[in-house]
Amino acid sequence: MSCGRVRRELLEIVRFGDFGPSAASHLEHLSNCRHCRDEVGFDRALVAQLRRALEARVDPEAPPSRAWYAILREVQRPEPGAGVLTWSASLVGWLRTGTAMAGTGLALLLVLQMEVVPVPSPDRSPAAGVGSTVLEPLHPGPSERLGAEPPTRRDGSSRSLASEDERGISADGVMPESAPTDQAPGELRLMVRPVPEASSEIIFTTGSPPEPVDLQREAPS
Amino acid sequence: MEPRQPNLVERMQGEDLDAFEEFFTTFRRPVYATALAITRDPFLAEEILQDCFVKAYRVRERLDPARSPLPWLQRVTINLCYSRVSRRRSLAEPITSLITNLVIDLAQRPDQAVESREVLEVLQRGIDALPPKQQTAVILYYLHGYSLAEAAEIAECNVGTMKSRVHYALKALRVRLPVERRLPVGATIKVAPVRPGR
Repeated sequence: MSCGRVRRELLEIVRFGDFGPSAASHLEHLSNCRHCRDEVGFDRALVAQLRRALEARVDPEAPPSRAWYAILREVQRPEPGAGVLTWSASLVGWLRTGTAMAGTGLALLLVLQMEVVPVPSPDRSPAAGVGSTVLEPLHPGPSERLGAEPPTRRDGSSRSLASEDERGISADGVMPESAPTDQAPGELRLMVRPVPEASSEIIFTTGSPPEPVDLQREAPS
Repeated sequence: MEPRQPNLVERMQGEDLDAFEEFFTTFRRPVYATALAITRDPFLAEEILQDCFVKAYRVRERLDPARSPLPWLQRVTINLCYSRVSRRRSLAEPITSLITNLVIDLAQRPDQAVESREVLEVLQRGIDALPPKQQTAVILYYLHGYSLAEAAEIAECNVGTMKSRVHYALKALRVRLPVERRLPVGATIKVAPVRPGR
């Protein structure tokens, strides 16, 4: 057995007190090898210094008596979260439930009744209009808008009103008196479309009343 | 045959605050020592001690009356320490030097005292720099004197792993010592002679 290996095993024996019958040969080696003796001696000295250093860290050994009174005060207080729910906890609970229900409803709506139909974006710059999407019923009625001309301004200008009307805001920041009425009463449309500011916009429209409802209304510039 | 007396944990589970005080008195020293050894900050150690016993009281129903609660208390203490010590490490620095100055053995000769203080300072810094698992291992094994099996139970590892952690901790501490102190007694350092003209 090499000296290095014996030394490693010796250190383990000495550190952890594993003095079994198998340690006899190691101890014999120790008595004949000065390097191993030095090594083990150094290790023992290191451990002795380590103990001193650790003991120095825990002085004073006992905690002050005030600790008990602080603990007693703490355990006699009602546990946080026990008993009646606070109003904020109730509110959070209701919000969670509401969010979950809304999410489930939306998912059901999409799965059961809607398909994604791309429509051309008549009045958007290429950067802003790409990817405009309208979600419509699987069996569109006469209100199909694909290929239809976009509505124009009342003053006859060529710029489309679609983007503003669909947001529910006219060019001068006033809610429009009427909106495109090519939807059947009760028909529900969901439009998802990126807006130029790189956020997304979700618009629900119903057949009656015809105004689109904007969930994320932009502040008038 | 007399009915068995409920032990401390069972009494504590029966809402007995006197039993809880006895529980605190019995176990506060090892818990505080662990907290202080890791944090080196008496105020933080006291805070951890309080949190540990408050937690013990709150979960008293889950404590096993058939077993000593000390390993559980030590485990909670260690976890509390390492969750807070990184935030407060900077505060412990002045205390390090205070402790180091206090532990000099004044009976020694001045030169030996200086050497001893240097080694102790190196070791204190070395202990601080150990990874948490190795630090826990040396604290449990060398400071508290737990057996390897007990230390392994507290640290939730097996005995071989605990041995390995102690081994690597000592190796790391040894590397931090000055070169002349790392050598075995009687060993000499061979220095190659500097040739003139180079």
